[in-house]
Amino acid sequence: MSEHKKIVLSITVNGEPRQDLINEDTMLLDYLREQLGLIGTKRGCNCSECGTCTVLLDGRTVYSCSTLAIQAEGKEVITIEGVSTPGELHPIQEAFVEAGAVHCGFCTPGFILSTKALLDRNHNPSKEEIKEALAGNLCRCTGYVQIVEAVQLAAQKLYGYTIKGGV
Amino acid sequence: MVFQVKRPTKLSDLWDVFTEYPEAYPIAGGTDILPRLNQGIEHHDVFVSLEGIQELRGISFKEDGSISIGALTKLVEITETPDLNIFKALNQACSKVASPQIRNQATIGGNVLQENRCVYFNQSVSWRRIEPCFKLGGDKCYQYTGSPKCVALFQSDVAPVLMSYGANAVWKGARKTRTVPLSSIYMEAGKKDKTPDEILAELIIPPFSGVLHSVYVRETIRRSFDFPLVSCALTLIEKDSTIDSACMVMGSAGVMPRIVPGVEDLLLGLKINDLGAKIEELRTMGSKEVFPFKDSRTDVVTRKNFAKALIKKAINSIINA
Repeated sequence: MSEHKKIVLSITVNGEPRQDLINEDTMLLDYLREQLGLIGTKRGCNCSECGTCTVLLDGRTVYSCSTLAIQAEGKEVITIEGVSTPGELHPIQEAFVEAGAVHCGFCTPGFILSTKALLDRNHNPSKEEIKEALAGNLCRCTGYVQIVEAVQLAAQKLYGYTIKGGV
Repeated sequence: MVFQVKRPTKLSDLWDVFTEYPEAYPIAGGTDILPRLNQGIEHHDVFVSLEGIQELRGISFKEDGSISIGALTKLVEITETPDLNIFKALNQACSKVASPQIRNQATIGGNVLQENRCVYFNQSVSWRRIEPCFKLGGDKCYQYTGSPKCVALFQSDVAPVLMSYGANAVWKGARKTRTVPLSSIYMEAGKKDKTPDEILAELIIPPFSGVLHSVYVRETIRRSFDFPLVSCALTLIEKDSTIDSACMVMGSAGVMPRIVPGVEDLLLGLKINDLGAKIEELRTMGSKEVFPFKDSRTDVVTRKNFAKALIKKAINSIINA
């Protein structure tokens, strides 16, 4: 067997309903990066360990490197490109910049999406809840302190909660 | 990497896929198999995605008091089902599996059927040696030199808990449905007692009368996003203020979870508050069931000591609940 079989994928990406012809063995990450050009979603380890490929699938974080595109059939995908409006940063992104949580930046899209998934459900998370929500994302630059602070700052910006236990 | 993915939407279509492609490999959440596929560790020409089969989904509470959890139920759904809160250990186990991204995608059926893991097998293909190990069809073990068979660890968090509840597994095939104790599906060398043309449909927690106490604890190198080095699930049923039923299961204890023999005999008729007097005996009994496995993460003695510490932690957690 050497031919890829083609199928039509019905999916909503960043709010836009789409139908695309894809190879049925395409991973969601490859579909987003190679076919749609949404290169904000990164390929890191390619085996569900680093979290740089994190996207939201129906509002929940998944590793797009280890998800078949057809597993997203009929569902809504949000990538980092869908978080902000053109020309303007999302409050979570602003918080990451202000807290110094972005160094090389390769892991940042994944962290932003994990943060969004957390804050959409829990407007006022504790430090422990933040750490647990971000457990599936690795950063080799910041040491995580600034990232946790950025999430607290984002909760403050979005929902007005004062930061628990100080930044 | 070229493969086909069949997508049946009902069980009857799944049986047709298995007839046409007997080697078709089932994918539920895909969080176990797809990383192995990406790493080049494993390849299958045909996969069958179970995602669309609604008959395999959902949690239902039966009239006889038993609870059925569809094999496709995602781990995150279990942690977010308030009616399951009574099964504290199940919630603890499902909340500790890997990372949020995995728990959002992984299913309970996939978790209890996950492949056994070892440091040699689960590394990048480029590090492989020429002569294959047992798991790759060869006749040697690089992880545990001299072993006559594969001793890769079964590291599920959820399986030991379900076994401590006495859960059953329901297998469905084209011709028959069979219900067996979950504990009976685990075989030597990481094999599972299933035929290629049947599928795990549901896991059933049997009814109980009395007060259920259950706890799941595990030891890991990292606090989150890690497989357990060793784990312990303890379930007690209290009736008329005394222990009426007890089961302790050691997880990551070898090629399969181990039910610790003799625990019920030791604890039957005791009051929960008197459990402390039995800690030493339980620690000895439990650590005996942990296979003397050493790898780059921990040695034999430390693994057994972790098991002892976990058993104490589990008992104290029930006493102090």
